[in-house]
Amino acid sequence: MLLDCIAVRDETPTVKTFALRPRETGFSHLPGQAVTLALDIERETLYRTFSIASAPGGETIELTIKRHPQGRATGWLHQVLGPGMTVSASGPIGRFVLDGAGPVAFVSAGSGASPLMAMLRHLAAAAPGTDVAWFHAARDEEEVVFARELTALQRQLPKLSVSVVLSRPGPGWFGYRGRLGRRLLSVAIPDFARRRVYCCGPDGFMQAARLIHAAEGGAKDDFRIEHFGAAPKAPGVPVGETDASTVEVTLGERSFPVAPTETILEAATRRQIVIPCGCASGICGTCRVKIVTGEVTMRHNGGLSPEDEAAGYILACSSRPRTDVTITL
Amino acid sequence: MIPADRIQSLLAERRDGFSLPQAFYVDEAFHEADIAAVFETEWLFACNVCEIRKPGDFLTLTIGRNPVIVLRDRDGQVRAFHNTCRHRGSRICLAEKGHAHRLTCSYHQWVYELDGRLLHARQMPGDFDPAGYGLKPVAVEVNCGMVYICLAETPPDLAHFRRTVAPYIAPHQPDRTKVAHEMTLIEEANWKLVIENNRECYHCAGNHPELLATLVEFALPDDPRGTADFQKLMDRQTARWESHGLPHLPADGGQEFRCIRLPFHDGALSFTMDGGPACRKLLGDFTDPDLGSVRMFRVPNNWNHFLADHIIHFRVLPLSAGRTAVRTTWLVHEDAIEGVDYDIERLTRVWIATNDQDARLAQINHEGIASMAYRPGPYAPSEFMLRNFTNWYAGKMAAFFGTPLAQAAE
Repeated sequence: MLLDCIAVRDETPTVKTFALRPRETGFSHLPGQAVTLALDIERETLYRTFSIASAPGGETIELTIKRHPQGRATGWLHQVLGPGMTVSASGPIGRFVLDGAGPVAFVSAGSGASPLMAMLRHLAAAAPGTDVAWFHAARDEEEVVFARELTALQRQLPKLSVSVVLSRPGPGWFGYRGRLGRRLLSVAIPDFARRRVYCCGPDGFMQAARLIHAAEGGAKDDFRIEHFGAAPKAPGVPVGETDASTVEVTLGERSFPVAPTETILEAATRRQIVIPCGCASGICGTCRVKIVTGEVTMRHNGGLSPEDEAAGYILACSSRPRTDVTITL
Repeated sequence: MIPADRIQSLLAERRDGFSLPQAFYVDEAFHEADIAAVFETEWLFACNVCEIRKPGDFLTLTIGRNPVIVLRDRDGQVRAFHNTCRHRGSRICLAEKGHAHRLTCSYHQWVYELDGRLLHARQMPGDFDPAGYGLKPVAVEVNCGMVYICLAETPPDLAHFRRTVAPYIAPHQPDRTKVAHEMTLIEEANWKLVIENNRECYHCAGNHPELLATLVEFALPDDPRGTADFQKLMDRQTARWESHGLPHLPADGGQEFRCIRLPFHDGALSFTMDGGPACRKLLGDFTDPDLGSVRMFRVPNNWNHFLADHIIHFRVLPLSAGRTAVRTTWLVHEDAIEGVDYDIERLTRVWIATNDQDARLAQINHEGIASMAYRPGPYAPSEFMLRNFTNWYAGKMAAFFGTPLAQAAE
């Protein structure tokens, strides 16, 4: 699908929000889901997945994106993309979505607030009585995203509480300072373990939050994370069950060899064969491909629904071929 | 009447590395001697501060014939007093635990403030000066939330113990806990047999199936009986604990105390039948459930386990030569919720079973020692802690009653 850029606005010195309007009608997403942009940059197509920060049902979708210092895609978005331009995209994807009732906790760092903002905006419209405790970590005052909108949303969501911790606060900061830790989080959200948690941020941050939730007594199923960006290692896809020799994978008109120690995605990337991908950890679902012939061993991290799996889809990042395999995008 | 000369001569003929001569275990006169020489002179574990959380909360215990009250005063300080009225000596606090605004003797209603001062003594003449009739204080030391008391006028120095064990137990934050369950078992055995039984795991394989589901039998990280697998487990777990800054090597406590962190069996996290957690909410600020347990023992009456998810304190008090009260308290995070974070049956099952088995072992040991055929027997190498204990005990008795050599020198 094609998305027309309608507007761009600054959120913080390093974060911008892009308002995009799907050209075709009928686009709809669940709060927390993402889209994958296909960006043509310097004669190359870069696939990047971004959470949608806007609530479902609008005429446009909003992506709130942080510019990474070395990021080609986010650099291009910040410098080049503007009103009047069009990008192609696919989606929505992702299983990091708001579900169930009861009190929730949002835990985010930096622009990890985006999918949570979609959830909060949705709750403000659909279930304003929801008990939401949001814990957000940022570097300094300037980098706190959505600060003004959260103030406004607190009028609509009487049970919304927000705690912000800064790692490098300036003078006049009266909130928390430091980093995510069990003691700080249990002070900010005393009943953290009794809430369903939605967490988005860098890997180490989400890992720390997960351990804290478990240590506070929270149930594993009540802790959900979103995850995009560079994560080089695929989940522990079992090696073996092949005859140790290399097998061939065919995608369209090209074939490439896959060693027993590699995933399909790793082998394809090595040959500059592009399979759109995001997390490389079996979570985001971006590298979903369909098997036409052959068999694979797959172990993903929830990035593929049971229905899709039954229909013959696999995640390229989480699969090792057992036989020669033909796949389609 | 304590037979000091018999004690001296039995100490003189005692063999190092052997169990004690019979009279030390079964003779009521020797029990009196133990109370005088050990329990009225040493620091004794009383309770955890969480058991007396608010001003006015108190707990009572009896050391030999000395009723003692441990309480929290109006300023939040933990204090202890002899639980005997300064009027005509009546016991004041009668409950095992409770809360009192002031301490009022039920006999003639003399009233004491929580700091021990006599506030009011009705019908006493105008020249009666209450200042001279405050409750007799008992020395108190609180170490990371553990309350120790000492009846001696001049208590021994506890500084080395405090300084040494604090780095092991402070991260478990024993003072931020609550008692999930407590149990007092009356064992039909001399208190020293209760301690000796606890100080070795030679008997574990034959007697403690529930405990050995998770506990490693080895008492030292380099136990010569340890397998290569045990060594690998040690290496892996000690690296993990070091990454958290948690000490684990055996502390230098001499004969006075012992403190070490040891792992559970591979994959086990806690004292449960399946090795899974006993309490989902971890202690303190921990985020790692796999911390093995700190085993801390202190003469004469206390051993403990400090895990990631709960703490167990054991308190031993002799009642007579052949009876001993063993109080076990299971503590979890102060905010943990029963039925949500923990289940009492699951939390306590292993050690309730183990305590019962140990009570039986101590009893049959005591019954056999009463035999005319009993002679002190040799400790196995794995019973090195019993040797430490009996040597410490013999030293205490010699220091109190004198040795034949010391007498000859006089």
